[in-house]
Amino acid sequence: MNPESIIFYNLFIYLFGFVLLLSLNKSVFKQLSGWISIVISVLGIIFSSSLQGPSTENFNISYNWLHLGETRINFTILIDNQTYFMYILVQVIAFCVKLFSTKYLEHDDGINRYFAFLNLFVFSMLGLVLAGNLLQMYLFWELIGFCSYLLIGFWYTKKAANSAAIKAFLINRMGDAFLMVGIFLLFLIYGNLDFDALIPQNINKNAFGFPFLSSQGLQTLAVLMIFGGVTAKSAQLPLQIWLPDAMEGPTPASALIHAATMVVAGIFLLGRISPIITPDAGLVIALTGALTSVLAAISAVFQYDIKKVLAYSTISQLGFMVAGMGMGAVGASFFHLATHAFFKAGLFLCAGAVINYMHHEQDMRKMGNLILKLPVVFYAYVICAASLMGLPFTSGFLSKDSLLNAAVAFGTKNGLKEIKLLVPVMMGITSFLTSFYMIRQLIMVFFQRQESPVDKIISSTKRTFDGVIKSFQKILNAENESLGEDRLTNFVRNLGMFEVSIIGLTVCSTWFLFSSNPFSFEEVWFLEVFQSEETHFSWIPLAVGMLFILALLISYNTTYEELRRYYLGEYKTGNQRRFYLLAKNHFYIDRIYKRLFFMFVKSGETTNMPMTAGLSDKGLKTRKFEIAPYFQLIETNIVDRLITKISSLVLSLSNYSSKIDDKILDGSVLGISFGLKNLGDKIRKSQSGQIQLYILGMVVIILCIVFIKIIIF
Amino acid sequence: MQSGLLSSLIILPLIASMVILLLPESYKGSYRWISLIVQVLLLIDLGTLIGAFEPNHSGYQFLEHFEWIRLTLGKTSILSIDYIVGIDGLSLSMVALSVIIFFIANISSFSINKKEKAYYSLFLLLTATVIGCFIAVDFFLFFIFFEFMLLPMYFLIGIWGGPNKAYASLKFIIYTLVGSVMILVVMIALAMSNVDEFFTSEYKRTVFSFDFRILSDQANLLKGSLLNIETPIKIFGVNARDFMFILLFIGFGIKLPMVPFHTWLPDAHVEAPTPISVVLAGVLLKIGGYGLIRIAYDFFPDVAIHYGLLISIIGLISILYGGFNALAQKDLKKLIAYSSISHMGFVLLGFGAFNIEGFNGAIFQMFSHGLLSSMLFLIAGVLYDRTKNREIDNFKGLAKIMPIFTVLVTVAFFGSLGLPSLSGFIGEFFTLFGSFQANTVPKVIPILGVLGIVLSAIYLLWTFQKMFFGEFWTKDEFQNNLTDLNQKEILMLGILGILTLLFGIFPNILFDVINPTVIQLFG
Amino acid sequence: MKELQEILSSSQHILPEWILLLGILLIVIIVSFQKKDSKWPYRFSFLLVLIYTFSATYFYENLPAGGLKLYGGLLLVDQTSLFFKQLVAISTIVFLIHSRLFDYKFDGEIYFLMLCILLGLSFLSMTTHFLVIYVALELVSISSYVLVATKNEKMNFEAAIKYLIFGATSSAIMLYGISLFYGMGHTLNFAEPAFIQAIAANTPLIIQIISFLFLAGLLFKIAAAPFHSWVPDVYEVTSTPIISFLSFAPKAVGVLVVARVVQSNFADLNAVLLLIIFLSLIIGNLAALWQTNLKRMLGYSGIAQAGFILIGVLKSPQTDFYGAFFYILTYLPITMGAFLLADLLKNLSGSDEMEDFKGLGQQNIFLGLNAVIIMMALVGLPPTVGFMAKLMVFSSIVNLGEAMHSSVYYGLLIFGLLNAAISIYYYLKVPYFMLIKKSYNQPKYNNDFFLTLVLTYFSISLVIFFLYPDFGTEWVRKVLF
Repeated sequence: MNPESIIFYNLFIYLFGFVLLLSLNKSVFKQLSGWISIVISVLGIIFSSSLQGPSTENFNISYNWLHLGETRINFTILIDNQTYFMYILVQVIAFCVKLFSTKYLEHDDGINRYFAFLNLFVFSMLGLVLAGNLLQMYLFWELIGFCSYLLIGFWYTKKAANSAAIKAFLINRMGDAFLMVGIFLLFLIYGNLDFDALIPQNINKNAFGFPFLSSQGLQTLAVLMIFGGVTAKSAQLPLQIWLPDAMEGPTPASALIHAATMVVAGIFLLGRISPIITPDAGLVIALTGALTSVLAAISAVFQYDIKKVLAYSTISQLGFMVAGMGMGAVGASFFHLATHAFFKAGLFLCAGAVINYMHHEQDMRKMGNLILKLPVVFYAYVICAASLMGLPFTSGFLSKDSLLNAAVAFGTKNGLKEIKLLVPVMMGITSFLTSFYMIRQLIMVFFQRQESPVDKIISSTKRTFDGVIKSFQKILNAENESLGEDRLTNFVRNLGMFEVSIIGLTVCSTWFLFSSNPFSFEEVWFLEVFQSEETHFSWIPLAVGMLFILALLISYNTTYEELRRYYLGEYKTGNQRRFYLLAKNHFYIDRIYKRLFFMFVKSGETTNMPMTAGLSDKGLKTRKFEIAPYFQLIETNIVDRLITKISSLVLSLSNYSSKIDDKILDGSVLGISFGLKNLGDKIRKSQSGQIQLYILGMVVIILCIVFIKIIIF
Repeated sequence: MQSGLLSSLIILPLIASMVILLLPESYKGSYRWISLIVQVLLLIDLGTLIGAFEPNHSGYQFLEHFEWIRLTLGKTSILSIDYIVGIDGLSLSMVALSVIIFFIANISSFSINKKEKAYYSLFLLLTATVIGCFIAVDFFLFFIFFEFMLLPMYFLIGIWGGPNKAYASLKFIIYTLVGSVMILVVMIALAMSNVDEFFTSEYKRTVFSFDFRILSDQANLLKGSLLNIETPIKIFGVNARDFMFILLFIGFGIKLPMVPFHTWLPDAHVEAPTPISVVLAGVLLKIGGYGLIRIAYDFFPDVAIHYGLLISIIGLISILYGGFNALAQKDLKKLIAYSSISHMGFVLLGFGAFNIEGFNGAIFQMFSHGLLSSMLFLIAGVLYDRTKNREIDNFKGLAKIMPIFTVLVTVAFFGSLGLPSLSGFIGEFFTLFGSFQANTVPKVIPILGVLGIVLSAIYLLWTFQKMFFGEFWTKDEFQNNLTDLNQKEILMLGILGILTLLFGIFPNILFDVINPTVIQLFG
Repeated sequence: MKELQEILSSSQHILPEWILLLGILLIVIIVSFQKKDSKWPYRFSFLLVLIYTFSATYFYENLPAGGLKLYGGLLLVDQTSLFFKQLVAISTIVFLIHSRLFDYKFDGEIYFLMLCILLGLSFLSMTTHFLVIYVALELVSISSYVLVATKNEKMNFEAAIKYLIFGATSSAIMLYGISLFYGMGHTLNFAEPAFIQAIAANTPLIIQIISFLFLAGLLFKIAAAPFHSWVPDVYEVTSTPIISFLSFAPKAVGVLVVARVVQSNFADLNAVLLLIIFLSLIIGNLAALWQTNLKRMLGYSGIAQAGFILIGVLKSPQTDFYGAFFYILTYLPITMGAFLLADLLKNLSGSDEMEDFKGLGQQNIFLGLNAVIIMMALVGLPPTVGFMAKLMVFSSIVNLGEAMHSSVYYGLLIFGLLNAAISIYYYLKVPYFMLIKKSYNQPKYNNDFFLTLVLTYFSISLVIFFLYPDFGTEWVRKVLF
C-alpha cells in the first residue's frame, strides 16, 4: 500500500472508532467498546508499521485545502523521522493505555464515551504529528486540547473535574492566542506557513509592520509567541498550572494525554520550527525550561497525592525537553521525549493500579506495604522510576545523559556564559530532586512502615530485602513451568490487564529498545537519525550517579521522618512550614493567576479556596463577574441611556412644542400648564382674551423669522 | 441566462403568502405545510442554482433584466429603475444561507399556534424580501426589499413576541429606519450622479441609473455632480464621498450591528419568538455586512481605503465590548445576543483589513455565524419551549438527562468559540489573519482581537459548565418537562451542526465561490 | 372699446368657470325650493362637478406654449392650471363619494359652499395677479370658515372663530405685502417683466421680507408653520369628508401659487422657504408624536407634509417643481384615503381616539392591511407611492445642492429624511393598536364589506401607483411651466 492510503485508513479508523463508540450509547454492545477500540488500535499499529521506516528524505503529500487570493494554504501530510517515531509512539502507548482502561473503567457507565474520546484524541494527535504547515498544526493543536478537556471532565458530575477541565481549556486557549499571533508573524516574515518553507530565502524584508524591529528581532518575537503556545500545551512557566489539576481525569487518560503524548505536542512543535529558532529565543526557551523543571521538581517533593507527584515530575521533565530544544539539542530532547513517554506512562499506569487497589485513595501517606500486594506493579514501578531518575540499564539513563551532556555543552559555549551556565546547573539540581521525590514516593507507597523510629532503618531494610526476594522468587518460580500449579495460577491471576499493559511499557523503558550499549548514548540509533554531534562529557553519568546516592540517603531519612510526623500529627513550623506551603502550592502561581483572572471573575473566597479547584463551582455560584458588570453598566447606563435620552429628548421637545401650540391655540394661562390630554375642556374654557395673545404669538414668530433672515442670510 | 430561477426565489414566497392570506380560517392546519413546501421548493431552487453556478466567472450570473420605471424628473432627466436580479459568489453564499436558515426557522415555527394565518404570510413575506435583498442588482430594488423587511419583522416581533414586545419592536423599527434613511440619502445621491450612457443617448435626456453595475463603475460619474471624484464637493466641510461613505457605514452598521448602535439587538432577540430570533441572527444581521461590501466598498473604494483603521477599531470594540457584556448576562438568549455582537465584530475587523484575506474571512465569518447563532438560538428555544424559562442559573447538569441535546450543544458552543474543524474557527482566524497582514492597521488591533477568542471561550464554557455539568438540578416545576430532543429538534440542530462541521473542514466549498468576487472587488 | 373686445374674447375662454358659476346659482335656487333632506342638491352638485371636470379637461385643446393671457393678464390659463383644476375637481368628487358612503346628512348649503371653494380655487390656480389671488383666496377662505362652522356645535363654532381670525390676520398681512409690492412695482401682476425690473431696484432683503409677508395668506392655506395653528382644532371638529377635502384642495392650489411666485423669480425666496420648511417639519412631526386623536394627528401630519411639499418648490436652475407637483398628485389619494380610513374606524370604534381601535385589525385582517398600507404611504415607505413622492422631492434637493453649492440643502435632505423616520412612530400607532393590541371590549363590528372594499381600492391604487408611477410623472412633466 502506498503511504498516502495507509495514513488515510489509519486516521480513518480512529475517527470511525470515535463515531461508532459514541453511537453505542444506549446499545447492548456498550461493554464491548473497550475491546472494539483495542482492535482499532491494533489495526492502527499494523497499518503504521507497514509505513516505511525512518529515511533520510522526507515524504510530502499535499492537498489543496483553501486559497484566498494569492494565499494558498494546503493540507499537507509531512512524514520525516520526527513524524515517524511520534506516529508509532502515540499508537503504541495508546494501545497500552486502552488495554489498561478496559479493566480500570469496566464498571463505569460512560465507558463508550471514554473510549470514543480516546480514539478521537489519538486521531487528532496523529493529525498533529502529520501536519505539514502551521495552520494545520494549530487546527489539531486545539483539537487535542478539546479532547483533553473532554477527558479531564469525563466524570462531569464531579465539580472538581469540571473546574479542572475548564481551567485546562482556558489556559490552553490563552496559549493558543499566543500561538496564533506567532503564526501571523511567521506568515508576515515568510509569506507561507509550510514548515519546509520556513527558510531564510523566503524572508521578505519589505512587508514588516514593525519599523523598529529588525527581521532578526521580529523572528525572535515570532518564535517566542509560538513558544507562548508551547508553554500552555507543554505546561511550562508561566502557564503550567493546569497540569496538576488535570489529574482529576481518569488515570489512564492522564497517562496517555497528560504524561506521554499530548503535553509533548509543544516539544514536537518546537522541533518542527527548530531551524528558525534564533539564539536569543533559544536562550529564553532554555532558561524557561530549566527553571520550570526546578520549580516543578521542588513542588513534587512536597506532594502527598500520588498522581500530583507524577504530574509535577512530568512538568519538570517537560522542562528538560524544552530546555533541550532551546539549546538546539533537538535529537536529545526528542530522545528524552520518547523515553519519558514510555516510563512516565508506565508510572501513571502503576499509580492507577495502586489507586484502584486502594479504592481511589490517592494520599501516599495512607499507603505502604504494597510490595507484597502488588509485586508486579512494584517492579514495574521501580524500573520506570529508575528510568526517570536516570539510572543505568534504563532508557532514561541514556536520554537524560544526552540531554545533560548537551546542556553542559551549551553552558560552556561562549557568549553570555554566566547566564547560559544556569541551565546545566538547574538541570543538575532537578535531576537530584527527581531522584529524591521518586525514592520518597517509592518508600511511601510500597515499603513497609515501622512504628518505632529506633531500629526503623535496619528492620525496614531487612523486610524490604526479603520482600524483594520473596516476590522475585514468586515470579521466577511462576515463570518456569516445572513448579507447583498454585503459584502459577496465583501469578496468572495477578497478571490482569493492568499488569500486562504495565509490563509492556516497563519493557519499553529499558535500554535495549534504543541502544546496544546501556552505558553510553552514543550508540543510540535515535540520535544518529537526528545527527546531533556534541562533545561527550564522560563525567556526567557519574555525577548523576553521585546525585542519586545522595538523594537516596537523604530522602530515605526525611521520608520516614515525614511519615513519623504524619502519624504523630506534628507539623513543621516557622520558615520551614512557610517554605513547605510555598512549594506544596507550587509557589502560589496558581493563586496569582486566579487573582488576575478573577479581575474578570471575582471570587468571594479566593484565599480560602483549595488551590487545585481552578474555578470551583462553589466559587462560581457566589461569584460575580467584576469587569463584566462594569461593561453591563456602561451598556445600560451610557449607551442605551444615551439613545433613550435622545429619543426622550425628541419626545419632550415635541411635548414642549405641542404645549406651545396649545398655549398659542387656547392661550388661557391655565392651558399652558396642562398637556394635550385635557385639551377639550380647555377649548371650552377659552375666552376671547386669547385672540390677541395668539395673534401676538403669530406676529412674534413672523418677526422672528424676519429677524433670523436678517441675521443669517 | 434569462432563466426565471432567481425571480422564483422571490415570487414563490410572495404568492404563497398571498394564498395563505386568502385561505379561509377553516384551512388553519394547512398554512404551516404550505409554507414548508415553499421553503422546500426554495431549497430545490437553490440546489439548481448552485449546480449551474460557475465559480470562476466573476461578476453577476443568472441575470434577469426588465425595464421597470422610468421616473421622469422634470423636463431634463429621467431616473431609470429596473428590475434586475442576479448573483455572484457573494450573493450566492448569502442566498444559500438565508434559504437554509428560513427552512430551519420554518420547521421551528411549527410550535407557534397563535394567529397562524398572519404569522405564516408575514413569515413568507419576510423570506421573499430578505432573499430579494441579496439578489437585487439594482440599488432601488435592494432598498425597497431592505425597507420592506421592517414591517414583517415589526409585526412578527410585536405580535408573537415576549412580554416586552411592544418596546422591543418599536426600538427595532426606529433604529433600522434611521439606518435605512441614511442609506436612502446615499442612494439618491448616487443615483443623481451616475449616468447611464446608453439610455441617455436613447432618450435624449440624462438618464440616472440605480444599476449596481453602473454605480460601481467610476467612469459613469457625471461631471460636476455631487459624488464626482475630480472636483470634490464639500458637505459641512466634509468631502461628499467621505460623507456618503460614513452614512452608509453607519446605516449598515446599525443593521450589523456595531457598537454603539447595537442596543436594539438584545431587546429584539430576547422578545422575539425562537424562529424569528433565528432568522434575525442568522440572516438579517448579514444584510448589514452584505450591504457594506456590495455598496459601501464597491461604490466608494477610493474612500473606503482611508477608513480601514476606523472600521478595524470599531470592530475590535464590538468584539471586546460584546464579549464582556456576554460575560455579565444571566439570560441565555441575551448572552447569545451579545455573543452575536462580538462575532459580527470580527466581520468588521475583516472589512477594516481591506485585503483579500480579510474580506474572505469576513464573508466566511458571516456565513458561519449565520449557522452557529441560529443553532444557539434554537438551543435557547429548546429550553424555553420546555420550561418557559431561560435563566442560566435555573439549569444544572442537563447532560445527565438530555444526552443528545448535550452533544449538539457541544457542537454549537465549541463551534462559536472557534474550535478548529468547526466553521467558526475559519472565519475568526482569517479575519484576524487578514487584519494582521493589512498595512493600514496597526498590529495591536488584531492582537487584541485574538483576546476576543479567549473571551468567547470564557463565557461560553462557563455557561456550558453551569448548565450541563454537575449533578442534575432545576426548579421543581421544570423537573418533568425536561425531556431530551424530539425528532424535529434533532433534525433542525442536526442539519446545522453537520453544515458547521462541513464548512469547518472543507472551507474551500465557500471560499471557491466568494473568492472571485472578492478579487474582482479589489482588481 | 378694445378692452371691451378683449373682455368678451377672454370670457369665452373660461367656460368651466362659467358653468360652475351658473351651477352654483342653480344650487342656491334648488336648495331654497327643496325641503330639508332632499337628495337633489347632492345629485346636482355631483353632476355639476363632473361636467366641470370634463370641460376643464377637454375644453382646452391646443393651448399656446406660454398659456393664454386673459383679461389683460388678470388670468393665465396654462397646462399647470388645468392640472390643478382637475386635481381639485377630483378631490371634490372624492368628497362627494365619501359623504355618500357614510351617508352624511348634509344640508344643501354645504354643497353650495363646497362649489364656491371649487370656484375660488379654480380662479386661484390660473392667475399671476395679486388682486385675483387675493379675491380668490378670500372666496375660498370665507366659504371654508362657514363650512367649519356648520354642524352647530360649540366646538365647531370656536374652531371656526379661530380659523376665521387666523385667516383674517394672515390675509391682512398678505394684503400689506401686496400693497408694498404695488408701491414698488406700480403693477399687480408679478409675472410682468416691468414689475420685476421695477422691483429689482430695491435691496433683495427688503423684497424677501415683503414677499414673505405676501406669502402669509398662501402659507395659511397650505397650513405650513408658522401659519398652522388653526389646523388641529379645525381638523378635529370638522366632519371628516369636509376636512378631507380641505386638507387637500387649498393646500394644492396654494402650493401652485407659491410655485408661480418662485417661478417668476423676482425675489430669491429659498431662504424664507427653507425656514418655513424646517419649522413645518419640526412642529408638524414633533407635535404629532403626542397626539392620541387620529384626526388631530392627521392635522399635524398635514403640517409636516406641507413642509415636504414645499421642499419641491425651492428654486434652482434645473428644478422645475416636478417634485412638488408629483407629491401633490400622490398626496390626493394618500390623504383622502387616510381620512376615509379615519371615518371607517370611527364607525367601527365610535371615536377618533386611537386607543379605541384596539383589535379592529385582528377581526378583519384586510382592514388592518389597508391601515398599514395607507399609513406606510404617509410615512413614505415602499411599496407605496408615498415613497416615490419623497424620492422625487429629495432627488430634486440633490440637484439643488449641486447647483447652489450650499450644504444647507444636504442638511435639509438628511433632516427631512430623519423626520420621515421619526414620523413612523406616530403613523404606526394606528396599525399598532389595530393589529397588535388586544381588544378587551368586543366592539360591535358591523362587517361593512363595501366600505372596506372602497378603502382597499384606495390602498391598492397606492401600491399600483408605486409600481407604475410613470404615467404620473409623465403627466406632471407635461404640465410643468
